[in-house]
Amino acid sequence: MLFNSFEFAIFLPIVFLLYWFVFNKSIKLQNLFLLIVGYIFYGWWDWRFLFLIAFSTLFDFTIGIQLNKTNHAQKRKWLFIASCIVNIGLLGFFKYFNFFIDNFIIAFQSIGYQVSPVTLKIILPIGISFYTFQSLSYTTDIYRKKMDPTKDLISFAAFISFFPQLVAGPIERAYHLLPQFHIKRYFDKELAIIGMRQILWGLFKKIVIADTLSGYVDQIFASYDTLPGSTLALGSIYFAVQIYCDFSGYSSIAIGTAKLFGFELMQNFNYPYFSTNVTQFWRRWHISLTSWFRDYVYIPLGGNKGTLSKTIFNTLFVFTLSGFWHGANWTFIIWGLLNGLYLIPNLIVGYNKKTKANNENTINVYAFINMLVTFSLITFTWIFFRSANVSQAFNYISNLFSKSLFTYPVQHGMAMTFPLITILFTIEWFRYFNIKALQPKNIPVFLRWIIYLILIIGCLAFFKQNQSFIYFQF
Amino acid sequence: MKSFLSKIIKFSFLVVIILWIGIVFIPDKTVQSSILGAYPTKHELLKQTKTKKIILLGGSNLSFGINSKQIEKVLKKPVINMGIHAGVGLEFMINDIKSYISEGDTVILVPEYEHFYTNNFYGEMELISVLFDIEPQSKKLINREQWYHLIQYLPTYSAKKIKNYIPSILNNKEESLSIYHKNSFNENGDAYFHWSLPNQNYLPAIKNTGNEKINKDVIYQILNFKHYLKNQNATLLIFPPVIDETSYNNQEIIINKINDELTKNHINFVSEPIKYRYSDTLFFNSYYHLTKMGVDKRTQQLINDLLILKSE
Repeated sequence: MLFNSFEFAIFLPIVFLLYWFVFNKSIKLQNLFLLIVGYIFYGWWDWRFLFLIAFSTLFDFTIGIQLNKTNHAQKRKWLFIASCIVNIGLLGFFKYFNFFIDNFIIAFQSIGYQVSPVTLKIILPIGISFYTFQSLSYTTDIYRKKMDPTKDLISFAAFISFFPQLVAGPIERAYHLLPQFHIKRYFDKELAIIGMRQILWGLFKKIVIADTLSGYVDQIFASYDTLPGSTLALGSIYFAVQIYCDFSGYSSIAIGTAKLFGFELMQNFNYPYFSTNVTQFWRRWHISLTSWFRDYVYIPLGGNKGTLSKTIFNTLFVFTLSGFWHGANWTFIIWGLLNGLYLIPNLIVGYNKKTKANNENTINVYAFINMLVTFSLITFTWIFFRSANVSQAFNYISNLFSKSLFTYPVQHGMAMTFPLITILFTIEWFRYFNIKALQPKNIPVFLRWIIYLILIIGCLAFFKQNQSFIYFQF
Repeated sequence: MKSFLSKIIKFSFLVVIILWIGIVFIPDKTVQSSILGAYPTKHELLKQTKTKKIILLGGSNLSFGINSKQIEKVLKKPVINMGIHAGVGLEFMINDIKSYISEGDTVILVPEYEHFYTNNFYGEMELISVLFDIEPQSKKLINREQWYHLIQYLPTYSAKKIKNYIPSILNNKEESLSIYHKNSFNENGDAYFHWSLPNQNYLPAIKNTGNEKINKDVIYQILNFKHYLKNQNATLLIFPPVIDETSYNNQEIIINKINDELTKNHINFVSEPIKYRYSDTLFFNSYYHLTKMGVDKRTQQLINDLLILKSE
C-alpha cells in the first residue's frame, strides 16, 4: 500500500479511529492491533512475503532471548553470528543472488571459460533491506549488552512490522523505538497536529514536486544520447531534487503517521542540500542509514581511531557497502565509492574533529558558494544512481560535458519545474533558519488553514496513480 | 482527542465543499478545447451518417493512427473514426456508440492493450472530464460499478480544475490549434495536425511483471457488444492496436495472454498482434501514436486485412 494512494487515504483514518477508540484499553491490545495492521499493510503488496517477516521476527526474538540467557562469550558470539548469517543471508539471496551469479559468469567468460547461467527469477521483497537492518540492530545491541531483550513477542513483532516505517524506514534502532512499544500510548493532540503537518508536507513534496519531476527525468535519461549537455545537466538537477522530495517526503509521512499513534521516529533528513561540504551532507541525508553504517560497520572497523590511511580505507569501505545496500548494480557501488572519495579531503584536513561545534547553520557568501559546490558534487553522483547501468552513466556524463552544455536546454517543462523547485527551496530555507514568524504557531489560524488547503488542492491536482517511492525498490 | 477530531472533521468538510464547487461550478476551458472536446462533433458525424458505415472504435491508437479517408476510398463506405483517448475507457466507448448503430454497420474495435488488464477499461480522469465538462447527458451511460471506479478520480479532477481556473481567467485567449486541440480532427474524425510534424521522444510501454491478469469484465463486455450488434444486423471486427517494437517486446507476455483469452472466447483479433508491431521510428510521441508514414502503413495494412476478410 502506497502512502500516496486512495487505499491509504481510507486505511489511515480507519486504523487511527480503531486504535484510539477500540484497541486503547491496554498496551497489549494496542501492540497486537499495530501488529495486525502492519501485516495487512505489507500483505497488500504481496502476502507471501509476510512469512519472511514473521520468520525474521521469530528468529531474532529467539536469538535475543538466548543471548541474554548466557554469559559464555563463545556461545554469545555464535548466536550473534547466526543472526548475522540468517539476516544477511536472506537479504543476500533475495537481493544479490542474480547479481553475483551474473558477475561470476562474466568473470569466468573473460578468462575463457563458458559457464551456463543459473539465474533465478527472484522477486525482491519490498522493504527487506530496511526491516533486516532494523532487526539486525536489535540482536547486535543485545550482543554488545547495550540493551536487554524484550520478552514480549507481540511488541517485538509490532516493532519490526510497524507500518509507517516498515517498507522504507527510517531504520530505527531497537533501543530507541522498542521501548515505546512497552509503554501505553495516550493521545497527544499537539503531537498529532505536528504529525498531520508532516504528512501534508511530505505528500506535497512527493506528489507535487517529485512526481512532476520524475516525468521529465525519465524522459531525459531515456533519450540522453539525443539531447544537448545543457538538458542533461538539467536532468541531473531534476533528479537530485526528485530523489530528495521523494525520499524525504516519504520519511515525513512515515514520521508524521507514527506521531498519530503516539510514536516518535528518528529524523531522516536535515536539509541536506544546504550542506556546505560533503561530510555535512552525509550527516543530513538518510540519517538513519548513515548512522546505522557508522554504528554497526564503521566504528567496529576502527572508525577514525587509527592512522589516516586506515580511516580512509574504512570510509571508502563503508560508503561502497552503503552503495551496494541500495541495489545489486555496479552503478550503486560506484555512486557509494564516489561519495566516499569526496570525503577524503575532509578526512585529511580533519574536518570531522574540527567542526563538531554547531556553527553549521550560519550563512554568508562563502558558505553559499560552498553549498552550490556541494550540491553540484552530489548531483554528479546521482547520475550513477539514476542510470540503468554503468555504460549509460558514463555516456550520459560524456554527453553532458560536451560543447552543447553551453547551449540553451531543450525546454523539458522548465515553466512548470522551476516554480516548483523555487517554492521547495524557499520554504526549506525559511524552515532551515527557523524564522519565527513563519513557524505554524505564529501564523493566524485562518491563514494556516488557507495554506493547508492550498497544499491539499496542490496534492490532489498533481496526483498521479501508482507513483511508487524510489526507495521502495531497495 | 475530541477537539482534534472536531478540527479534522471541520477541515475535511471545508475541503469537500471546495472540491464540490470545483466539480460543479468551475468550467474547464482547457478540457473543452482539448481532443476530448471533439466528442460532440464526432457524435454529430455518427448521427448524420445513416448509410452502411464503418465505425472505428478505440482510443488514441486510432485517432493518431488512421487515415479514414483512404479506407473510405478503397472500401466505398463512409468511415467514422471515433478514437479519441484510451482514458475514457472501453466500457464507455462501447456504450456510447450503441444508440448510433444501424443495420449493415461495421464496428472495427481496436482497444489499447491496457484496457484488458488495468482499470483503464472503466475509464479514468478523461471520462470524468467528458461527463462533467463535455457531454453531461452521457452520465446516464455509466453504471454503478463504473462509478465505483471513477469516484477516486473526482478529488483530483476537481483540484485540477481549481488549479487551472486562475490561469485561464488571466489568459482568456482561445487556445490555438495544436496536436491535442479539438479541431485537430478532419471530417472523418482522424487527428491530422501532427501529420506534418517530425516525431518526438517518448517512453515505451513499461515491461510486464508477468503478474498482470486479464479483466474478465472486458471479455464479457465485448461478448455482449457482439451479441448486441448481431441483433442490429451489424458486424463486429476486432483488430490489435499498432504498437512500437520496444513496447511490444516489453508487453509480449500480456499481449499473448490477451490474444489467447480472446481466441478462447471466439472473439479473435482479425490479424495477429505481431503483424501490427511497427518499427519505433514510425511513432510520433507515444507508443500508440503514429507519424504520417506510420499512419499510411497501418491504414494500408488494415485495408488489406479487410479486403481479405471480404473475399473470404
